[in-house]
Amino acid sequence: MIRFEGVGRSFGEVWAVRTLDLAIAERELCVLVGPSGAGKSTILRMINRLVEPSEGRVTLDGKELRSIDPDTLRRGIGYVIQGVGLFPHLTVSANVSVVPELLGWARARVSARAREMLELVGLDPDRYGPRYPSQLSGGEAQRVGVARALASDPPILLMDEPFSAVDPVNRLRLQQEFLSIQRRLRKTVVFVTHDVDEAIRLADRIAVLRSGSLVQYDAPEALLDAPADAFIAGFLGSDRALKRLSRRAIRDWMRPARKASVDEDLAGLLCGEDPGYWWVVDGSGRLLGCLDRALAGCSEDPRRIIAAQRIEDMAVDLDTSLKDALSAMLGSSARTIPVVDGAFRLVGEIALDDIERASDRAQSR
Amino acid sequence: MRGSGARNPRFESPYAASALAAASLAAAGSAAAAFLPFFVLRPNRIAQGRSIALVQAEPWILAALMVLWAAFLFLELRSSRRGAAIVSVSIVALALAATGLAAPRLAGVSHVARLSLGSGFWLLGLAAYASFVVASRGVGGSPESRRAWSFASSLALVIVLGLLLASGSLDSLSIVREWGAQRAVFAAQMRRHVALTAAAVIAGGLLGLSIGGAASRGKTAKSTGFLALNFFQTIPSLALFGLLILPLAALANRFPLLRSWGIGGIGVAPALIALSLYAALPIARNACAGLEGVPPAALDAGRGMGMGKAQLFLRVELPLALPVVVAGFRTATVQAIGNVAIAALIGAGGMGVFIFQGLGQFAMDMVLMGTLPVVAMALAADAAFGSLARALTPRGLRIAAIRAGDAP
Repeated sequence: MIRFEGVGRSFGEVWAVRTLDLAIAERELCVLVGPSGAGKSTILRMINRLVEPSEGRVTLDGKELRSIDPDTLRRGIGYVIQGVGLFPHLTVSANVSVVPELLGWARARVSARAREMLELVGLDPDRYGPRYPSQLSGGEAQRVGVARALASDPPILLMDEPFSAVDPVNRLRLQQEFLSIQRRLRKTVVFVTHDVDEAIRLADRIAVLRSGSLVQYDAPEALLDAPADAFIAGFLGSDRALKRLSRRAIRDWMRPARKASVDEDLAGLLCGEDPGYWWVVDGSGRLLGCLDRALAGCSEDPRRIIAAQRIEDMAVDLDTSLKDALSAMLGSSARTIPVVDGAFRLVGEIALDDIERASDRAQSR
Repeated sequence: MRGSGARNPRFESPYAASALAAASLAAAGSAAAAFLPFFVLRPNRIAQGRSIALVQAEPWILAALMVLWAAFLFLELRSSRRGAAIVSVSIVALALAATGLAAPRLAGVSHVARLSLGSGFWLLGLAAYASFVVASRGVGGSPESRRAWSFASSLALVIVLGLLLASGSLDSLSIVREWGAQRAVFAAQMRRHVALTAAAVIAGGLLGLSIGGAASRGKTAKSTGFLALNFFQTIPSLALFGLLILPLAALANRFPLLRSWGIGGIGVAPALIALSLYAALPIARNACAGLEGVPPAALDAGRGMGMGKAQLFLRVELPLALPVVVAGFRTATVQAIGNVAIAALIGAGGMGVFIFQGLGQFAMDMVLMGTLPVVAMALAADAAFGSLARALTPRGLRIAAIRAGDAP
């Protein structure tokens, strides 16, 4: 538990942070968000004592930070910054090994750990380990930055706008990869960003800051449902309803699918009594296509209909958000779309009604 | 960034520019060999000299030189750079051989007669050197192979020169006679020159490193430190030597003990003070630039990962700044070697002794005897520090420089 108690910090006449009370729970991903100059980085840097508070105190598990030697403290806290800050004269492996070496680990353990960390962030250690930072793309460098911060397995990770210098496509991928790493490792993460979408995508809890003061501290859903004032509502943007959907996973809102095996009498279904539709799957459950009585007559060949469809454009993965499902519905002009797992096996379906239900539930809560 | 922005289309083709350079060099080199006095013969050391052209002394060698220049131009226009480089080295070797062949015959048996090398020889040599530079720029492309070519060529010429000296065929050259007469003094002054240079660079290095280090940390240290060093740099070396005479002489008179240590208005003491001040500026400047060039994000990351001040310096700042620091020492040393020659004027010794004595006695060969070693020392120091800087550049930075399109 990291706790700020009445913390203020001034630079000359200007107070970057004032009377801050904030508790960051263990194993939570806490995002500090706000416009530039709101004091986010100053708060972050007080946790590893790169900045000292002018007043108040910061404690880590009840122990005051001031009583801990700064270098010892920092070696136990991972640190990722915007400019990555890889050492240009060291190889990727050597960069990742810095903190373990500072901690005096044995050589074999250090190099094994460096390989493990590179694998964790999705970089092949044999290919990337011997390279130098100048030979990496922005996204690769940022992955190495994360690997370096995690190398000594610190319980706390500080990240200061780590993905903001990366192009939007790579940023989204880095965010998703980092989330999956975080789901596995469950570190206490303090993450600074000025990007609201990034905050909502990643956070367990968001602290909104304005000119040095904490204005709201809540889970993202709660923040979107009930912004404390007009500033926060404005900062969150006019598409709050969509952002809310982006926090909800399909797997929690989907329903069982109406399915038919490709081995069944499909022509019989098309000519039968039931007026609805069926998702057609093969023997192993993989989604092949859709038969809809409203679109296809009894005389047509069902296999030819399925072969002509591009069902992969319509199907959504069960880990994507309701916002993406809505987008897929609008894109394929269907009110119900199939949900598949990683192997493209049909696991359910989701309808526009379900999304409305999710949105209503959130608002009324 | 290179290669961006509008270019003047007239300079678009490097081929046309180098062809023009090659043609001018070949023309100048041939003309110097053919028309200018290649040797100057004097009945005694201070008498009026008689010019002797190469065509009078060694007509066949002149013909061979002409052929070589034509070959150089031909190869250069066909862009076979290796061949052109070899030819330009051969031109120098041949000019040396011509001297070795002609000298004993021209000087005859007289021991007072003096045979000097004339403007024809020196200009031919200069043109050939420039040709080598033009040709070797295009060799292979990689900086390593170009350095290897320069090194091999210098070695070849040194070997040719050594063989000629050893065979005694250059003994009748005035400059060799001058050297023979003063061999012991020459060796002593050479040692003095090297010692003064080394002492100045070490003392200036300590001063420069501390000023540069302080300057990279604080604004006030930067402005005051560089202001002082720049001030000294603007004073011509001769004037600074002169300015130091008065206070040091007064000091030595006031405290006789100082004089017994060899400190006085003239001699080694004022020379070393001035030389060290000159050496300090490039070293301070580069130390400051090197430390300031360390990426701030790397420093922040290092600090945030728990590196102490000393660890941060040794593991991050020093390796990144060292090549730039060494480049400062390179400039300072080359400069000091030249400045020491002037320090002879206030009695500090060194190669300048021969230069100024020769100037006073109108004995150009003596001037050359002092100048050539200074040039050789400066070139050697430049090459040595250059290799050192390259060796100290971390591989990651060399790769970064190549990717940025800059040869290191």
